[in-house]
Amino acid sequence: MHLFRPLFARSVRGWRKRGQPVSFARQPQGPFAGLLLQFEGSPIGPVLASALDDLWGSPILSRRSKALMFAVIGHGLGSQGSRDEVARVLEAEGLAPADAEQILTHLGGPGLNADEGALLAFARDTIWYEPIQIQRRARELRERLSAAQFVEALGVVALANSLCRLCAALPRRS
Amino acid sequence: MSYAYALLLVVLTAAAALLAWQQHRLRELRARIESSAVELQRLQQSCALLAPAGVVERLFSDGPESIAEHKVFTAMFTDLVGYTALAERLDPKTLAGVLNGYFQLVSDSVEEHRGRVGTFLGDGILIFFGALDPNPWQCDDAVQAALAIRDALERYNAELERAALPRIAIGVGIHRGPGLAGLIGSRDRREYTVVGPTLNLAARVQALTREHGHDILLTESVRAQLDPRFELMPMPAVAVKGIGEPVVTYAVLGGREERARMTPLRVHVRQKDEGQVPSAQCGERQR
Repeated sequence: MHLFRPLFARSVRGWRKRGQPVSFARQPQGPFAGLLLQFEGSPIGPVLASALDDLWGSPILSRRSKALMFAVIGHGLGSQGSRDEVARVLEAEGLAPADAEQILTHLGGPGLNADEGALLAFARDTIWYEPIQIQRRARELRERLSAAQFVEALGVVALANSLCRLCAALPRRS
Repeated sequence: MSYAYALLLVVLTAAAALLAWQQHRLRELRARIESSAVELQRLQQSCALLAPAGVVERLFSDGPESIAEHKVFTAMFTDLVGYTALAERLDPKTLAGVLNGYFQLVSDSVEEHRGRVGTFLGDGILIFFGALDPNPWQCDDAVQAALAIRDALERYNAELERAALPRIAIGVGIHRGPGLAGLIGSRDRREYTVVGPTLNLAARVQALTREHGHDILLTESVRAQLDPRFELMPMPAVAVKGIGEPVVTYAVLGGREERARMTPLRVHVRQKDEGQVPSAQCGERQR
C-alpha cells in the first residue's frame, strides 16, 4: 500500500485548501487573548484557543498557579509578549505587580505557597529540557499533588512551552 | 486471445515481483534507518558526557565553528584551602580519594542547581551558570549551589573525621559578566568552555575568601541580580590584581529559607553589632 501513497496524495491534493485563512470559532476574550490574536488566520489559532479555554475552565489547579507557570516559562524563554499578557492575568487573579515581579525574578516570594513553589520549579525545569532535572522534579511533584493535579500540571507546561515558543518566534504586533 | 492472457499474466507477475522487491527494499531501508538512529543516539549520549546536549546537537547540525557566542553568565570558582599542607600529610592514594570526594560533592551540588562544571584546575573547579542556555535565574542558582556545596562539605567533613582524616575547607568566588562561550581549543582537541575576564575576577574573588575569613564571596554584579532574601554581609573594598578599581564583595551568610525564618530585627541587630554597615544601609542593601 505504501507504493500507492503518491497516487492517493496526488488525487486528494486538489481537495485541500492550503493557504486559506482559518478564523476563530469565536473571538478570543479570556487570558492570553492578545497572544492568540497573533495567530489569527493560522490553523494553530483555533486549536490553541480551544486548549486554553479548557485549561482556564478546569478547576483542578488554581488559575493563579497556572498563570504563574505560564509566566515562569515565558520569562525563562525571554518571551516579552507572553510576559506582558501573563502580568495582566496575574493582576486579575489578585497578585500585586510587585509580588508577581518578585516571584518571576527569583522563583519565590512571600506570596507563594509550597505547592506553587514546586509547580514553578517544575515549570522552570521544562524550559531547556534537561531530562534528569525534569524527571527528578516530576517525581517530587507527583508526591505532592493528586493524580489529576499532576496531569493538569503536565498539560499546563506543555501548552505554556508551545505558546511561549511560538510567541517568541513571532514578530511583535503594535 | 490466449497470447493476450499470457501477456497479462506476465505483466501481473512482473508487477507482483516488482512490488515484492520494493517491499523487501523498503524493509531493508527502514532497518538501516532504525539502526542509524540507534547509533546516532548512542553517539549523542557519549558526546553529552563531554559537552552539553544542546552543544552536541549544534555540533552535529552546524559544525564546530558555529558554537561561539558572547554571553553574560555567572562564573563560580571554588578552591581547596590549605591543599599543599593536606598533600604533605596524606599518602597519594588517600589524597586522591579525599580530592575525588570533594570534586564529586561540588559537581553534584552544581548540577542540582543548573550549573555546569567547566574545568578542573588542580584542586580548583571552574563552574558556569547561564553559559549554555539563557538563564534569568543564574545568580540565584549560583548562590544556591554555593550554599549546597557548603552543606555537602559539612557532611563530607563529618565522614572524613570518622575515617580519622583531616577536615577540608574551600573558598568560593562568584562573579557575573560577559564572556565568550564556545568550543575552544586546538584543531585536534577542543572543549566547550567560556573565556574572558569574568573568570579571572571570579578566581580573584575566591582568593579573597582567605583575606576576609568567609567561605563564599560574591561581587556587586551578582548582588544586583540576587534574590534579596539571601543574607549577605558587605566586605571592605580590596584592590585586586588586574582590576583598576578596588573590588567590593559580599559574604553569603545564609540562604533564602533561613532568611525567611529570620525576623527583620535579628538581621538588623546582627549586622549592626558586627559593625559592617549602618542599619539604614542594610535595609537598602537587602532591598
